[in-house]
Amino acid sequence: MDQPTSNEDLMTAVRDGHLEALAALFERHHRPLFGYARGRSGDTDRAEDVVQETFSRILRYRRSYRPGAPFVPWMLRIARNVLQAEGAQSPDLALTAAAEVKASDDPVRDLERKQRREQVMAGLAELAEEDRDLLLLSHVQELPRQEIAHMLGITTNAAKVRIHRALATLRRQIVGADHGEAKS
Amino acid sequence: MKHDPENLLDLLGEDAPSVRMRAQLEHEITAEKNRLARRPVRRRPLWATAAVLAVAVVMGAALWPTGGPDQAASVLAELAADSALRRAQGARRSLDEAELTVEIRQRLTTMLHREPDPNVRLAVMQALAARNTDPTVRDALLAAVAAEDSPLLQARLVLALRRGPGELSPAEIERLQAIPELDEAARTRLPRS
Repeated sequence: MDQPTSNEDLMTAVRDGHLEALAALFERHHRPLFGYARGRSGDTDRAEDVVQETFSRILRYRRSYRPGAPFVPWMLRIARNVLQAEGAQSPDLALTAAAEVKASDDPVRDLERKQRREQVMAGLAELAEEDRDLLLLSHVQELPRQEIAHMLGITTNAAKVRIHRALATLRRQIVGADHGEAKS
Repeated sequence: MKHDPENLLDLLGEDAPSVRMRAQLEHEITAEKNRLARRPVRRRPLWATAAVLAVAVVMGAALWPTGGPDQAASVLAELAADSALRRAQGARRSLDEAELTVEIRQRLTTMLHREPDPNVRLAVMQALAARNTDPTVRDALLAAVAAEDSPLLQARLVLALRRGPGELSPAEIERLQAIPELDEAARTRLPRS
């Protein structure tokens, strides 16, 4: 059976002018990248723009990719620049909620998941920006701790400890929100 | 499990608007390929040029829209269709035109104000935003921000204006900031002047 082509091989192909390879990279990475951008910005609409702008920049700046360099951290550096260029704006949950109104075969299940997602996004919005970033990089993008540490300029141990603490804080916030709901 | 944030974080990637994003990326890849194809190339032997041209013509005929007056007419027909989906497809297909004809441009700018379906309006905005270096188109887009009654579309329109090839000038940013009915979500998306 054929081995799946690596991200790095696909990006090298894009760099060398085989632009259609970018579609394969998009298929692999757009969902986690969307989740990352949604968690960072708290805004579904803006997350879509971040994903589109990130892939546009990958296409435009493809020649700046160094063949063999890990693709995901490179892509995330671009996405983080896009998020920064969009401005450090506070999460906009009202817009997110409005944007997510949609028809479904199982509206009850969808509403439950939507409520859960909003709780997570509200919890994330309460975290310090860097802690939010750490959590999303580790649990949505599933980057190795070492890679995250390198990206953020901290030690691997510090990254592990802070991810652990951020998760605990997020858990407390979600439990607190559930209790608040149960009381009301 | 219920409160496990590790699992709940997975929910963030759900409902990604994959189809719309994929279509936009495919459009950009096609545009980039076309741009590369138009770039002047180094002189090569006549036989090699002839061979490349023959292959390109065969592949082009098989793969890409033909463009030209027929294509423009079919885009216009789609934009006037009863079905909202077909109108949106027409707006999207207008992106394949190297240049907008006056008729298509007029139709799109009119739809910006009169199209009843918000999804079609969004497709029209995206189609026009890609041409926002054209002063007529630019003016229509700026005017549409004030006229748009959906806060979501207002915000999308501001983003579309920011992401098009022509940058917003400080005077244009001020013009947008001065719109009294500009929704807060759209306002936060304006670049600082």
